Amino acid sequence: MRRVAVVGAGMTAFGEHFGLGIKDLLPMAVSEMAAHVDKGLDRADIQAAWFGELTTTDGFPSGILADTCGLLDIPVTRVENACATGNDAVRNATFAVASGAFDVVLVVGADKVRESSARATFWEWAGLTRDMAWDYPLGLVAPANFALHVARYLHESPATR
Amino acid sequence: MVTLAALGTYLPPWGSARGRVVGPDEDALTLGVAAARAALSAAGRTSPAGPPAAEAAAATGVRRVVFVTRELPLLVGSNAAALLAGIGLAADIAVVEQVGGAPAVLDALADASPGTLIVAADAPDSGEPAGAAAALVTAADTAGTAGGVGVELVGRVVRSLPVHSQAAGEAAVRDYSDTRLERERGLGVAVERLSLTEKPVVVAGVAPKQAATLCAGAPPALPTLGASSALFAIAALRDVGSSGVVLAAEQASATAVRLDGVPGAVRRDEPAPLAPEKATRTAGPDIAVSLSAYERAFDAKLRWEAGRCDACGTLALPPRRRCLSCGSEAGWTLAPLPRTGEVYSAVTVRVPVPGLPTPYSLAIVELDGGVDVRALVKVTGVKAGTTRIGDRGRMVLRRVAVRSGVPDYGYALFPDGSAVAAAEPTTTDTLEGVAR
Repeated sequence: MRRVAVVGAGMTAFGEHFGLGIKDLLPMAVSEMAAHVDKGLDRADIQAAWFGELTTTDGFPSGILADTCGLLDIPVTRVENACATGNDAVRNATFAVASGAFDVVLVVGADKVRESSARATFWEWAGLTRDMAWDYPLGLVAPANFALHVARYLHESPATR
Repeated sequence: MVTLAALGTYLPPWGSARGRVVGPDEDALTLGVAAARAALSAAGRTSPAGPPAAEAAAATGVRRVVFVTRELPLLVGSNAAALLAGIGLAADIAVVEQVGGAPAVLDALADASPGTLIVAADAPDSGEPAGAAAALVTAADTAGTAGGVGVELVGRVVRSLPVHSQAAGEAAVRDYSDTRLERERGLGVAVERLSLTEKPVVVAGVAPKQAATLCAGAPPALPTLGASSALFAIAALRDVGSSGVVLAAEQASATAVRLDGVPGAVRRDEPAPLAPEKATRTAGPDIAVSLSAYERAFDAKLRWEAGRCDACGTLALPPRRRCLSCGSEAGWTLAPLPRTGEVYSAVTVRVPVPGLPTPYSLAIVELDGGVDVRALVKVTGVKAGTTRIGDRGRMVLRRVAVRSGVPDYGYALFPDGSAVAAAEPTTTDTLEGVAR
């Protein structure tokens, strides 16, 4: 397997970004990444892309990334793996370069959460993350989910708060 | 003459000595289920905290359930299946869902055929007290009905004086506000027309002061005023140690029955009252429901049953197509789960959550009996944030949420400490089993 390097990175600020849609945020992050590659990047060199996005906004994710960033006629793959979504997109891209299948690939992670009312967002995400009949209405917010693990860990281990 | 074999009562844990109120996760159905389970265990038909084993459920001999309340959770869509599942009765039993008050319950009792389970629940949001009670009627000669007592209709008066009214589609009860009219032309005339030859021992459905004017001695106080009060009244005969006439009134109507003995089998599931928690309610959208997921989960979820692998016997909650233990996909059969357990981990949510009253606690409960099943559930009946790892409790049916108008029932953990005072000295024999 070949060794793989990250040669450029860019990102937008974190925020609710009511004034910007996912179709704005994606090219912003990609352009900042391109501007930070030593000796520059010819975008035509990008041979494939992996897109980590938990929830879809404004349409199917792969197509949105391809369309908004001009990544036409190359394979674009959306990855979803809960809280590990971004890491998993990096992992898949790494495999592609390490294997020799591609030399230059793009990884993007993005989620545009605040596209529905603050009241509705919680239950939209609950529908994504919980069993519809057994767990959905319990109100197991994400921090509570992890707290159940941590509380038991603190109980069983010598760890302290 | 019908034979009353056993009585069960239930009071929600919230409120004060003056009256109970339903918690945010209770409704007439969950109240009724708790009372019905108490009645069946008083009759010795189910173990109190345990699930009715399939054989035991078959042996209950219940052939008909009459559910009387003025707060039916569903008017269209039926509460019958949830009621049977929650009580632990087979799904081929006829259920009568009846809107009514205290006299309607005595009417149902006086006319009941053997094998009838009458469930009466009050879950008003008008501020009137909440509670539920249930009565099991058997054939007079049924074996094992020690403590059974005969009930006979004395009289019935059906009149109209809707001082309190709520038309179909109206959100709240209207009050005509004339207590003297209600007392004189309502209850007064009804009692007069009954021409009782014997003063009642206890009166249901009216304020204690009025009850006292009608009775021979000081009548026992009852915790509710609606449908359930009629059965609380009969249960109270045991407290005063007397047989005799029980009168149930509602506005201008009344029914009187006579009991030829003191009810022997009474189980009260009546935890000590806690001041209701101040909940923060954050407006939210309708919580979505998937009715296909609802239907698939219904039996396991409302009967508290796991899928038992047909190949190796491993339990899974919820049931799994592929057994995690042996890998078999040959199938599974629903099997009752223990209804007691110990907190494996717990968390309290205090941030506002749209559509849910906060704060609330969630717990992972390790069920008893070495079944190796842990369940993620809400905690009920205690103040949020008071449940710790290692605490013990029992699993009780609650309304977990209302989803797009559909009550979503499931089980919650009722920690033990809260139910200790259920064994008040005035109550009956058998509370230990319920509280543990």
